[in-house]
Amino acid sequence: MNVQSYGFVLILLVTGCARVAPYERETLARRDMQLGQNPDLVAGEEHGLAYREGSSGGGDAKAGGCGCN
Amino acid sequence: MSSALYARTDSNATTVWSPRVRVAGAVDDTYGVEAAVALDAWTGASIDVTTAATKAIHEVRKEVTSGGYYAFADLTVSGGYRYSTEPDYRSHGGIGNLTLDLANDNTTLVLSLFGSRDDVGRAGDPSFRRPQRTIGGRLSITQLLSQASFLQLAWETTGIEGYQASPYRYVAIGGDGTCASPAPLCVPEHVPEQRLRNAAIARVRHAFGEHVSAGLDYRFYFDDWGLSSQTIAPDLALIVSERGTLALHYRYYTQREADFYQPRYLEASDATGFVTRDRELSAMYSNRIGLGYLHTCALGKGGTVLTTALRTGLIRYKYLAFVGLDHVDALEGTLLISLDHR
Repeated sequence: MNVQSYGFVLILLVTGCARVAPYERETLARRDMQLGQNPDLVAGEEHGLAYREGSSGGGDAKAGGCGCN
Repeated sequence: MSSALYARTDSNATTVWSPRVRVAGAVDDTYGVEAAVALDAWTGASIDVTTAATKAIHEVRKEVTSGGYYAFADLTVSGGYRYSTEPDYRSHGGIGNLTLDLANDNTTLVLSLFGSRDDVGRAGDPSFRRPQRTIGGRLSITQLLSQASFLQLAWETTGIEGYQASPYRYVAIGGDGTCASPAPLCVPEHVPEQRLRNAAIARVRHAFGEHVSAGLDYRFYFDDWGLSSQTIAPDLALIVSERGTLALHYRYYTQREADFYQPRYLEASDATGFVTRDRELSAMYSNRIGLGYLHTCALGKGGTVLTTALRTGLIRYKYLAFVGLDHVDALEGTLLISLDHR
């Protein structure tokens, strides 16, 4: 199975999920259910992690420059 | 308008203060703009500095960012620019995003492209200038799974070309592995000029009842320097009052060293290959536990909401093969105050 096949199966799996109507999203809209943290709240942490670990990627903040602290 | 102050101190004599102010505004329902200013003031006497036999350093990085978005029916286009400068480093960067809502907003696809051009310098040596270019992309899909849960999958690839060593770091060939003590030979750090980095991310979140939710983030990272890592980060959020939310975080991180990393380079022939004294390229793991509290309240009847938040964490980095440093313990925290007027 090649990469395209895995991608196709993944899309089928994800889009095959139950539909949630807008009026059924009260729980999903709750303040504790937000996927991304406030970017200002985590910017310092994520910038620090990027320069203390050998890996990076996947964070919400895209801070730049060295700031190699 | 939002302002935040990040502070960090660790057992390796590094202290960081990083204030940040951001202003954002929606012109109408379809487009908006934002701008932010941040400082990153740090003082360090880290192992990198001491093994290079230099003094403790103090430096300030300044960063300005701006951005905007335009929303069509199911498509939002957004982008941003960032400029960052410090005495020995300058960086220009940009990002563009396409966000597509599908299946009546049950599925969200986001494609991001980003890049930067950096100039690496060396304090006290104006003739030292080395370029570094970065370009990358990220694709993510967020899917509602039920009325109380959702899943996000993402892939990110970044290519870096140019100077990626530290102009201050020297590597001992022979001796005890550090240049602080007499070593037969000390050479500048030398690492490959190209690096391709990849990360696969999965995040899931589920609500339990009316006041509790839990999330789990997982990331697998690998690059062509031979470094790979895994990150697992569960969290628990509790609505403790009408206005307050409490969050507990845990993060475990582990990485394998880069192919060319060695704690000690013993042979004279090592000096002609890639050599590094960068502990971020060594085998290591870390544990972080954190606590956060967020409080919102309406100010008057004019639609202004005040948000205050505090997020703190304790981290231990454990180095498995780095001469002169076994672990670093750190305490960090961010205080946020935000005013939103609708």
